[in-house]
Amino acid sequence: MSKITVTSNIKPGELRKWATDITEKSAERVVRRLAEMCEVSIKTEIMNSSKMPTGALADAFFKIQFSRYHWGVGDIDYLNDATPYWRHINYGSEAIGANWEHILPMGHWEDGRWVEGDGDDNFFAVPNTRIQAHNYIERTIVDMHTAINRVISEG
Amino acid sequence: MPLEWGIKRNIENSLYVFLTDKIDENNVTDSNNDKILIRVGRKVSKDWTLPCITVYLDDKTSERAEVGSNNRLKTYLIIMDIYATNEGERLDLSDWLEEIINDGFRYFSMLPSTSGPQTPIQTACGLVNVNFVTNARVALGQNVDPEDSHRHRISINTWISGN
Repeated sequence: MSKITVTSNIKPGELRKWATDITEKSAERVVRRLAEMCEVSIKTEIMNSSKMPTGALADAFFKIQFSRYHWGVGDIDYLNDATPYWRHINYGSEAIGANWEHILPMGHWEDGRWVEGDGDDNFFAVPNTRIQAHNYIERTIVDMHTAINRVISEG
Repeated sequence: MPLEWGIKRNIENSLYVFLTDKIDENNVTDSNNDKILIRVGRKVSKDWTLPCITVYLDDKTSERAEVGSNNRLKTYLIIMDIYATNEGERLDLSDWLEEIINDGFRYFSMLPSTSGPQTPIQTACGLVNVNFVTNARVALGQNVDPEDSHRHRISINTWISGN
């Protein structure tokens, strides 16, 4: 039985370090690219599903890097502060601020929006229609399933 | 002859048939011994009573199956909202729903019947496979409407296999 002998000039441990470097760089690229794609996807889903988008909700979603391999999109504390209606738009609800009897806080309609106030022309309103669920979070997660395969194959 | 329903309506109504049958089979009731109602659609009507489960198809993706081919890998996002009357009921219903939907459900092609609009003609055409997307309580804050105070959402991504 013949034998083939291969001699390498690489020192022990160098190959492992080389392979580790490549893997780390690849992983870093994949998570950063996925975060970028996720940010674009959620902004697109929000803008496409709204009748009269102002862009405020879409702008509130942005990518954040926590560590070398850890990214996120959508800071809940920031969202609660800047756009407290983000859950209502995603899940749909009776109305923002409505009480248990479906009555909105005192106010008036202005350019299609309910503005709170207590002047003479303000009143308590009962909304006839619910806020429709836009499901932009679920749609983005589905988009990301496709994106993961695409980003990994970009190599 | 009425037009045959499309895939989206068929999936919604196949899921409705599946869930309604399972509720009868497992005798899923509320605390008053009334069967849990399944509603198809995203709009909650004022005359609906709690508890109920709403199901609707929200979105579709058509990824290309392979380069150079027009075959598509079609997936359908389905939203299932549980509207419960208390937290215990919400947890029980979400566990039950997750358990029974896990293995997928039969896909029916439906043809509306002019003699009985409420009972379309069903032909079994395959299996709807399920991937879970989200499964969590819908938390909208403290001062919310009764319909929204014990809500749970399970969203699934589905695709049809077989004939």
